[in-house]
This record gives sequence, structure tokens and C-alpha cells, in this order.
Amino acid sequence: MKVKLTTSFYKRMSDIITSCLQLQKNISTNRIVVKEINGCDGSFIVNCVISYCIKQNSPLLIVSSHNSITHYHNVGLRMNHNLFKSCEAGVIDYFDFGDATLTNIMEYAESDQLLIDVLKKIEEMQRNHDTVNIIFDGITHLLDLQYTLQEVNKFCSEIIEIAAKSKNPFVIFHCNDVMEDDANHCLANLLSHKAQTVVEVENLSSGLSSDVSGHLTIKYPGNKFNEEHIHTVDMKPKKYLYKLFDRGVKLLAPGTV
Amino acid sequence: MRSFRKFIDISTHINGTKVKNNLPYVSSGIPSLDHIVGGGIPAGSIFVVEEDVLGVYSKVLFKYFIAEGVACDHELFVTSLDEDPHKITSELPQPCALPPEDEKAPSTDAEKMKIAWRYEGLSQVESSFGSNTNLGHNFDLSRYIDADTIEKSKIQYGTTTWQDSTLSWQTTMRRGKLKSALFHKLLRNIYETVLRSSGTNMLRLAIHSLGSPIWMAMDSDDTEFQNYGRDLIMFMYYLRILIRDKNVAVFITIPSHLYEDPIIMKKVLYSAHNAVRIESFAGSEKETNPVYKDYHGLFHITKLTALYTLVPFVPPSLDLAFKLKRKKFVIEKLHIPPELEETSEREQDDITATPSTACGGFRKKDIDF
Repeated sequence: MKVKLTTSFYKRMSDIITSCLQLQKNISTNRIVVKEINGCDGSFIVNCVISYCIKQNSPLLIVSSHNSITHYHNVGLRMNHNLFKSCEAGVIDYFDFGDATLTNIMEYAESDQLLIDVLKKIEEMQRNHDTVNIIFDGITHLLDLQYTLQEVNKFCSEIIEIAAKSKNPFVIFHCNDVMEDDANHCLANLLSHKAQTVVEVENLSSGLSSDVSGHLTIKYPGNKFNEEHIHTVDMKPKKYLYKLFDRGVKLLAPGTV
Repeated sequence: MRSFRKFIDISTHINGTKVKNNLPYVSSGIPSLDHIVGGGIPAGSIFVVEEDVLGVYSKVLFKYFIAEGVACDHELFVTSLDEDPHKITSELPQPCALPPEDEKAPSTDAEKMKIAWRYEGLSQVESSFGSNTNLGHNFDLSRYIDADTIEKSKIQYGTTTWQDSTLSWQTTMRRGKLKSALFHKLLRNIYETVLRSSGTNMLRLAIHSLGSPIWMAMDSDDTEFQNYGRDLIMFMYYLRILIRDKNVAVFITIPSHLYEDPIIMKKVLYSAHNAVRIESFAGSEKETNPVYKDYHGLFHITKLTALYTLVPFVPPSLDLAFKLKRKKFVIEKLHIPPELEETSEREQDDITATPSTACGGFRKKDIDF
């Protein structure tokens, strides 16, 4: 029997990702790492988080070096929110890292100031809001731009440090894990080591399917010091299959398709 | 009750485009290619073709892309270091009203296949794609667009030459800076072209054989092997940033088979939006394999991105092959020919086990769900 998908159903579909990321819990500086494995596109997680922040009226800074804000806006329209209006309202702010780098190279300016500009932007937003959540989309592009692994790692630590000054924020690093013996992989692992939650999105190894978009694995390395998990030696990750829709994501248990 | 209404500004409609997901799409010039990548090439995206070893078929695709731009009166930017771009544009296929048909050899009665009576009434399986598309033109490869039309069209040629490859733009590696003067000059060229373009017309950027040995000469001199390809990766990233949200479609062919390190291509593809790879049978053992006797090579879809939407396009099949006829280039669903001769089971296994992507080629352990 075909089930008609109502608006409320779609609403729940995008909420499922944010509940997996434990955004509703008041964790002090919730650090989340999204790893794209095997060339998979994990930008849907960013979209779900943006949707959550708009609905909760929770201030968010998007530092983007991979996708444009117009992309997120257009996806958002289908998910029942208007990103540009939220930007105008001041709930969401945006730092186009890619554009700033391109302008620098075309105007023969130095790129060293860029990372400082990002940190300044966070501090500026913190002056107006109690909580400032942060998403860094495509952080691995910094390595392509010849920033060293050490510099990027230090920069991420500084973002977390500055974010911690506000009240229970979350910080999401969205990175592309190309191959095991590459700097991108090292960076993804370094960030995962700092993270409360690690989300891995991976394409289907057997090809493309219209029923399933890919594999989604969620690990909670930050939970291992919680009381309920204190006696667990090795916490098992949660594994799902996910299916993307125009208006959200649906998670499926393996074997149920 | 709130509801969203799709808003399309008809006054901004660009010739030779169709709007999908609030984004104009242009044709690659090959209807079957448009079909398998989701209806064409979206504006503000990069389409990468990983070249075949001899670069013959990728050049055909390249010419189709430019020819489609000429036919639609789009602005064009063409560049190549390996060949004279003027020579490439002088050999563009001519548009024709109907899909060109190649002459078929007369078949004798003895060659006709006998069909079991219960299947005889069924319609023939359609293995070709895009026959009923309304985007783009049909082209005849056996005829060229005349020189006058090419001269009148809005083609701009890249000014980078191979002599630039000997120049070092930056003496030392610096963050965010391209070391090679070639890549820097091309990026600047494109930057100025994009700024100059009206925005009301589509701009097609066509770069042939980017990352070929001429482009990588500077990297080869580098003492550190790990720096090989860094300018190519950085250039692709800057190009992605430069053209996003603009009425620009980029078509690049890259000789990926020349790179020993697979990471280079993976990082290049991270910045690209859609990518395909051409595997030609020329010179390989597959050339004589009876399974592939009807085709000239395999066509692999490497990457498909969802732009302005969450859901990426799922092609009808990933088992694709292509053939270059006298008048057109066609991409088809790969079909293994019927087994007419009596062979032992072992021999049959050997034939079908060769291609990794062929029909039914995967094993049970590879199934995801």
C-alpha cells in the first residue's frame, strides 16, 4: 500500500537527523564531525541542522567553503524554511570562505588573515547572541589550499574554544575523507578525536539505488565517559541506511528495505 | 494554510536551457549523455570527463559541447594547451533537424535471429537514451559547421600558451596561491570572462585536457613528490567557487589515466559536480572480447551531485557503453549479446566475469541491503 507523505511526516524526517546528533540535549559545546566517505555527499546533514536552527530560533553561523548559501537556501525552500529571511532576521549568519579566498588570490592579497577573520566573525556574533552554533562546511578544502594539517587542527581547536564561550552551542565540522593514507583522512580522525558525535556517510558500494541513498553510521565517542556507558568497553556505533527525499531524510534499519 | 508556489521568472529564460530545481540546465550536445546525468549540465556546475587513453572519444564529447553552445548562441570560452583551440572549433559537428541515422548493412536471411513465438510480439528493448528529449540539438559528425558561423559566434579563446609552463608564478609555496603561471593565467582569464559576461546569456567554459603533461611541467620539477597535482586541485577548487550561482557551465576533460596517485583525481572530483569516465577498448584486450563487439568502449558515471536539491539523480543504469558511428556518438545500456553457440559452462563464466561493471557482475557479498 502506498502511503501518502504529509508535511508533518517530512518534518519528522528532518528531525530524525538532529535527534541523532543530540542537538536537543543541552551538552556543553557539542562537537560533531560529519565524514564523507567514498565521495558521498553529506550536505543533507547541514541542511537538516539549518532547518532545526531556524525552527528553534537558535543563532547559527555557517562558514562555507564547499557549497554556496544559495544552494542551502533552495534546498531549504523545499524543507519549508527560508534561509535568506532568517539571514535578514539575524538568526543565521554566513561567512563565505571560498569567495574570500578567491578574492584574495585575484587581488594578490595574503590569505593568512582569513582564518582570523572567521574567528572574529564568531566573536562578533557572540556579542549579539547568548548562544552561537557553528557549521564549517568543507573544512578539508583548507588542506587543498596548502594550509598544513597542524594549522587546520589548531584553527579547529580555536573555533571550539571560542564557541565554548557561549551557552551550550554545537560546532559541526563537515569534512571529506578521500583515502586512508591522505591528510584529509588524518584531519577527519583528529577532529573525530575531539568530537562528541561522529557521523559517517558513505555511498553504496554496489552502485546507485532509488530505494536507498547510502549508509549512515553514528558514533558517540563523547558518551563513553557518561555514567550509563562507563562499564562499556567498546560502544557499538548505530548503523542505518538513509534515503533522501526532496524535503528531508528517512533513516532505515539495515535489512528492512 | 501556507503553501509554496513555484516561482519561475519567464523573462529570464535563456535560449537553449530548461529550468529544473530552479536552475537552468544546458545540453552537452549528446541527448543520451544528458539523459544519464539527469537532464543536462546545470548552470554553476563543473562537468568533468576523464579521458580515454588516446583522448579520441573525449575530444568528440568536447566538440559536441562547443557545437551545442554555437547552435544556442551561447557565449563560449575555449582553451587547450595540447591542441590549437582554433583547430578544434573548425571541426565542430553541424546541427541537423532530425537525429542522424547511419546506413545499416543489408542483412541476409541467414543472419536474422530466430525469435521464440511467445516473445515475437513483444516490442524491442530500448537500450538507447534521450531519443525523446526536447533540450539541445542533434548533430551530424560527418559535417562541420562552416567557418563563417564559427567566426560570427561568441567564442573567446584562452590566451595561455605552453611557453607559460616554464614560468613560475610563486617562487615558494604559499597558502592559497597557485605556483604555476599557467593555472594562474587561466584562472585570471576565466575570472575576467565571467565578470564580463552579461549574465542574461549562458557562458560555456570548455577546457581540453586540463592537467596534461604540459600543465603539470612545473609539478614534475618539484623535488617533493607529494606536491604533484596540487595546482590542479587548487585550480579546480577556485573554479568551483568562481562559477557557482552563475549562468556558467564548465566542461573539462582530464587525462586521469596519467596520474599514478589516485588521490589527485579524488580531490579534483570533490570540487567537480558531475563526472564521467571513458574507457576505450582501443588497444585493450576487451577489443577482441565478443561481449563488447558492438561497442567502442565503456562509459562510467563517476559522480553525480544534487545542486539546489537534496536528492541526486539516479541514472537508469550504470552498465553503459558507447559507440562512435559515422554521424553520431551514442551512449547505450550495455547488453551482453545472446549466446548462440554451444559452449561449456566454464568458458561462459570466463567471458562474463571480465568486466567489473557488466550486467549481473557483482557477487552476493557486494550487495548492500
